[in-house]
Amino acid sequence: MKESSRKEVFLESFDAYSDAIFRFCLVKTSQKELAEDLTQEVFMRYWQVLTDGKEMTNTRSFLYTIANNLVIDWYRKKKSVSLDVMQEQGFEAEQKGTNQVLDTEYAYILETIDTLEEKDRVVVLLRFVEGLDPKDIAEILGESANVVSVRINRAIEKVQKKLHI
Amino acid sequence: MNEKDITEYFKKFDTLGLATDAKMRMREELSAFADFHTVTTQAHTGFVGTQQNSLFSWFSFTHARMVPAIALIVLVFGVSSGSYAAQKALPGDVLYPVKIHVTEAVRGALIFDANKKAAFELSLLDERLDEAKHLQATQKLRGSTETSVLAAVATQVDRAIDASSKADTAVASDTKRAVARSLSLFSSRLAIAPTRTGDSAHTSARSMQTVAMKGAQSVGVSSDAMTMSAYGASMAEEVVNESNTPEAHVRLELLQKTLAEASGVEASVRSDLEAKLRTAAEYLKVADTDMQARTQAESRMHIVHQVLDDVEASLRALGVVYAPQEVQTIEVDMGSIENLVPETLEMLDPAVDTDILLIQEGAASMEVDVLDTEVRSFIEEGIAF
Repeated sequence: MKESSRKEVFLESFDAYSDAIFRFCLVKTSQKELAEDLTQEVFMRYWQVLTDGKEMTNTRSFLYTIANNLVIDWYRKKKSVSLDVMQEQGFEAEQKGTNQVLDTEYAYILETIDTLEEKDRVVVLLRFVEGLDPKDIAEILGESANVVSVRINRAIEKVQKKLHI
Repeated sequence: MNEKDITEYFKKFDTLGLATDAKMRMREELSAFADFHTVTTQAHTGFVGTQQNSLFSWFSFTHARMVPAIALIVLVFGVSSGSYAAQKALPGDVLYPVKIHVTEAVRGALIFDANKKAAFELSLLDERLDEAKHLQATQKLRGSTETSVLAAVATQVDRAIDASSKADTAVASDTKRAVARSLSLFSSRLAIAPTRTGDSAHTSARSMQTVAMKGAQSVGVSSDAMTMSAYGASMAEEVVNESNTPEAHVRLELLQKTLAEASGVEASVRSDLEAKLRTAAEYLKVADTDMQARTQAESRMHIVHQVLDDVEASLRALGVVYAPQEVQTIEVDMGSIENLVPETLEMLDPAVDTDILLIQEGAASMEVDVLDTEVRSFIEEGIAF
């Protein structure tokens, strides 16, 4: 691929999927700024893969997969920091405060999503917001399609309970 | 609630995305990132083009693959002796390609903020000019090295200007001004150096000077009267900071002479440069007066303090109690300060800066320097005037 057209593909992908990747990172981390940083990192990695000359069959799934791996890395790093240190640095407060930055109209949805376990949260996002098939979700998260279906059902139940429906 | 309802429920979330400004910024940064990583994977042309020997060719060919590896080494071992040595490398040194293609490239790749990027590119321009200065001082700025150094300076000027165009307006104009200033100072220094040492490389310095002057022109310094005067001011400031007005006069005269003798300079460029020199001359005149005034003021202050010391000592000797009133800083609760009328405060005590009060209105509390004990008690008690 020529450099110019490669860059075009790259920027087109950014225009098409950056919001979705941001939502994914946001739902996974509950931190707006961190989600922005992760989104940028996802696309930097994507560019590196593009320059290696690899052809992409499903760009969207690929971007989600990178995002998922980055978030997992972030969780690992986060765990390695002791709770005391985190509290001393006001980490908890920051984590809770950042969602207030988001529009209040999303607050109720975020609140609902927050009641779910982290693993279910992302499934809900990919299934109901992004409209992905369980099979694609399974591929992104590195799980089996069965596990994903179970999570979807469990998430539906929890959401129903939360909304008293 | 079935799946359809849930989809409906979450549908609104679909419109949530990156804020427009964040998205634009990110897009620009990624675009720059892509350009940078594209550049590094291609063979380098231009800078080392005119003096590629076998070692240089080898490095240009392999360095694209080496960048990640060396970057990793730098990350793992911190500032390794290799990259540290490379930091001081000059054009022509074996480690010079490491310096510009690895050390600087890695640093640059890690900067995403447009304003910081502009500052970074500006610092690289200063670095290029420093290198040229070192080479010039050791009589090495000649031949193919001179050509490549000139090319590198010109490239870096472009990069700094390019980076500044993506920065905030204020930062962009500061950067452009700084670029012009660096180039101009540099070229004038070069012009002096050979004259002083009687070096025969005067022509080399002059060609560099022409490039630098053209660079300053391309930055658009002369087209803007505001920038122009600020430029003159900054130049004069630099001269004053060096506390060496005789040297400034020498430089000014030399530059005027050089410009008058220089051939092949376009008329518009020449008139711009002449105008700049006139501005510098005017500022220099003012600076001379200021310097004299400052010297006089300093000596007068010295006398004032001597007299005061004398009187204080006399009073002490006479057994008179002397307790200088100190400025006290107190913390003021903003809840009570809201009752205070700033104008009244100012009238009572000019030491209270009402602007500060107004600016910090949002704060929970603030510190105020208060001389007058009465005013202090008023503030502390939160009494409204």
